[in-house]
Amino acid sequence: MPSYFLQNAILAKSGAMYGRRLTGENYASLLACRAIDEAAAYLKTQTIYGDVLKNLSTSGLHRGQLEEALQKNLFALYESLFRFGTSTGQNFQYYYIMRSDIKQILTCLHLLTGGESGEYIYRIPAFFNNYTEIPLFELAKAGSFPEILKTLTGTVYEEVFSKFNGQAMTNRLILEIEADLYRYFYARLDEIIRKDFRGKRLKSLQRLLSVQADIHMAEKLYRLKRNGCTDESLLRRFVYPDFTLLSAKQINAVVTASDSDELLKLLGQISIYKGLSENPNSLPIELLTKEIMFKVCKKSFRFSGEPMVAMLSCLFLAEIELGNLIHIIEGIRYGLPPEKVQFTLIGFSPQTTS
Amino acid sequence: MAIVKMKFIKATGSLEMLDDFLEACYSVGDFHPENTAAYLSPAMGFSPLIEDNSYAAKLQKIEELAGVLGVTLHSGTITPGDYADTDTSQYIDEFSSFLAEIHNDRKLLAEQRETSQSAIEQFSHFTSLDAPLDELFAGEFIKVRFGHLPKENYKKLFAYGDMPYMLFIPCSEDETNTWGVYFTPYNKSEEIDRIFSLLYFERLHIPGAAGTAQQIIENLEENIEILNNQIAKLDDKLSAYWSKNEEKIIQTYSRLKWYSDAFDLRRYAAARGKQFYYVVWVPSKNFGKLREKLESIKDINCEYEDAEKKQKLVPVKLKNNILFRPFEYFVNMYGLPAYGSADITPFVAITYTLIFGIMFGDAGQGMVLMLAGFLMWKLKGMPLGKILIPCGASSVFFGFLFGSFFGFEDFFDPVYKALGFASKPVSVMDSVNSVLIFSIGIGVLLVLISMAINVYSCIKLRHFGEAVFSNNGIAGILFYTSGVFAVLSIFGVKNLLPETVLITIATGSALMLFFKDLFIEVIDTGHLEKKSSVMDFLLQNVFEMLEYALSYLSNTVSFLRVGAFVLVHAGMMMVVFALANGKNMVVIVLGNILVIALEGLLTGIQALRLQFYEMFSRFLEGDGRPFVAAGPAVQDRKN
Repeated sequence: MPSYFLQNAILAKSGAMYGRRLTGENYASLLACRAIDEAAAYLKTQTIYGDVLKNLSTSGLHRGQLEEALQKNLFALYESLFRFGTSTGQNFQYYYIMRSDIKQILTCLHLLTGGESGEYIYRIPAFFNNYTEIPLFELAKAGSFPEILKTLTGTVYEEVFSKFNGQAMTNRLILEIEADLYRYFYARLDEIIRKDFRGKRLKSLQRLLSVQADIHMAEKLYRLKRNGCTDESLLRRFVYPDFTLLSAKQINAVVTASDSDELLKLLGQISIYKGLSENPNSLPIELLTKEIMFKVCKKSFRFSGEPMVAMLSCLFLAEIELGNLIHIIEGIRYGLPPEKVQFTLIGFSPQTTS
Repeated sequence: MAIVKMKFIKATGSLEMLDDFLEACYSVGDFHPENTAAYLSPAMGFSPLIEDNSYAAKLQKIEELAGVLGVTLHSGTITPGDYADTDTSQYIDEFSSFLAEIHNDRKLLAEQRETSQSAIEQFSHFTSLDAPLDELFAGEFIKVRFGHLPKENYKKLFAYGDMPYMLFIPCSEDETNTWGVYFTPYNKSEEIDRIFSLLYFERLHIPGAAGTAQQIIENLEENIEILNNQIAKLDDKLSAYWSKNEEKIIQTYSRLKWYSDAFDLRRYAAARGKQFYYVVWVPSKNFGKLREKLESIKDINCEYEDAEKKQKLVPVKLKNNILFRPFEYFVNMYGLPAYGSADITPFVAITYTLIFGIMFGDAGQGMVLMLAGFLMWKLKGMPLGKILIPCGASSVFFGFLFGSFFGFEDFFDPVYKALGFASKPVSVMDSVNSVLIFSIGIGVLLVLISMAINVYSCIKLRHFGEAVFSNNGIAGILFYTSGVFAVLSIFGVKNLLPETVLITIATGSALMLFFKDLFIEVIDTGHLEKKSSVMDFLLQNVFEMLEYALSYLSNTVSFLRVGAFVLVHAGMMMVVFALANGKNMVVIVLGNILVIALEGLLTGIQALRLQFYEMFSRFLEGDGRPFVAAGPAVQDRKN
């Protein structure tokens, strides 16, 4: 647990980060951009992203370069905040790295099963090599499951992967690996926070992280049910008992829900997830869950007072902001009208100023 | 120290004589043209004169040519002689054609130099490549690509270590990118180009040249040197031309500028067919001379009027001596007095300087302010600088009286002893009550003077009713004075006048104020307007009386701040010395700097506030129109 002074520093730094988020005006200006260069130039000159983009030439800029630069900025942000937490901070930083590791492993697996393993090398955010223990370039060369397992030897993911050694590479296998990776991730997270936090602090952290776990679960279950999956054992693997706001009865209900719509209806009965059952614009589930996360984080930051909760809320908000920027950039790249893109922006409406 | 008297001139004549008319106005000094169309009835058929300025194009041309020479032209004063349009045009054309050739050559050489520099920059990334580039590009079966990619993505290339169709040679690195060249068989170029594109490889199309990159750079550098020499020769030619023709060019430019600026004044005129109409205000002192000149111009008829007949429309120009002139800045800030009323600049100068000096009251710090004001004026041309100098001097004087020199309270003791004083004339912290009472006294005096100025202004403007019956007129003065005496008697001060006389004056003046609207209407306008109801009238005036009484009280008490700031200043220096333990010079110096800056700013603002709210509001409407002198200064032809 950070000392009293460090806690204040964390709160102050989080507050500063919160205040520097993009405003409604910024989003409106970005939506009006018609080229990647223009958006990059705007970000460089009019927003807090000036520093991270200063070495990037805005003319002829590839959108992947821009997205990578923004993601790199996010990691730098994690680092700068977690530096205050000393040992706790390092542990939490590890939580973010592990989340990113899992995303990289799953990306590699999906490309492999799709017959596009050669594409993975381009997807690797090169800066991430400085943080992860996974040799990403070696992972990019892997052309089969045993090769992936070999690459992951010596990492914490070896244990999870070795369980599946010898099995055929099917979509089901990928899902099971994903479920187990996240179960491992949440178990590790539980260890981290129980080590340094007690009582009310522990509860408030658990609550915030439970929301994150629940919306992840909601997304997976929704997609699985949408694709006709009824295998309860598989569905249950995506429930993380250490981090959920649902009671055992509610978990049973959502797992056994007859279809995706019923699932959302059941989840919507919990006040914090009300937004899932109200979808007037027929937005994808991922946007609905992010909208919930956005509201929860904003509220947590403003009312919690607990430094680590404030910090995590700010970081989640920073991730949402990054997601918004990527949506805008991709909207520009594919020539989508701004009116369509703005529906995908979390926490933004034309009248929003902060 | 007055508002300059004006004369109003209406001129009409043939449009061809308009320039002569304007030249005559220029020749005698400042004048203030009016938008003539606003003075004429639309039925008369005149409309604003709209023309293209024929001088503007030539002026622009000559400025461009000067730019080519690398000089900035400044116009001097001229003697407007016969302006020969054809001569000027011919001269500019000769000037232009001479420069055009040199300018084009220079431009060409400069472009070549820029191209070479750009090429050097590109080739400099590949100096480690020890192979002739022309031979590389000559390959039939191999494609060559020069460029750069992000350093992080360069590492990804190692994943392609066993790919036989790609060879990347890194040549150099900067902060974010790795520069290099890759080779690929021509039949695999599409695939390999795609891979590099996904790694954000930015291709560089370098100019073709023989030799290695280093050799090419050396050749380019030699080329740049040759180009620089050629450009220098052309520059010498231009400098020689300028030296030979500087005077004539400046003279031509000055004349063109003058006529162009003068042409702009034509837009104030109104025209109907071939006739113009023009109205100007001219200071009375120049009127005689101007009249003489105008009467010598054919085809122009002029009418002359005194400004007094057009009171509210007359532009106001203040005339003050060198001591009071800086304080016109404050008067302009509030608003000029109406034409015909009193010029209050001397009053502002004296009162502001005194109040500032009293509130600031430190001899050493006052000297610093004087120096600061001098530097602000000389180096930056700031009008506040000129004001700060007398304020600083006043602070020095009062600082001497208060015995304070950079906060050292006993600095002047030997001087006082030499002058026969036992100690400093005014010990601020030992006589707090006296300081505050003195401030109130200043307030009473200044409020009375302000009201007296209002009476004088009203009399000048022939508003006799206002002068006598308004709350800032004689009735107000009597009421206020009787109030002051009443307060003094409460505090045990013996009155100069018997009590009955005082009560009579107070009652009489109160009644005058109560019915002032009626009296002013009758005296100043000659008729009485019907009131809505007696009750409304009475009620309204009761509240107005209360308002007057409160305003007198608040305006007077407001002057307490003068005393307060005297005490604050002394208090702040005491704190500085307490922190410095009386010995630490660094703290004392820093403390003085802080006090000068903070107190200087606060005192300046508070003194100005007293001027604007407590004094100006009593006699100054601020609705005067400023006199805006037209056009550049011009030498008299005879001189």
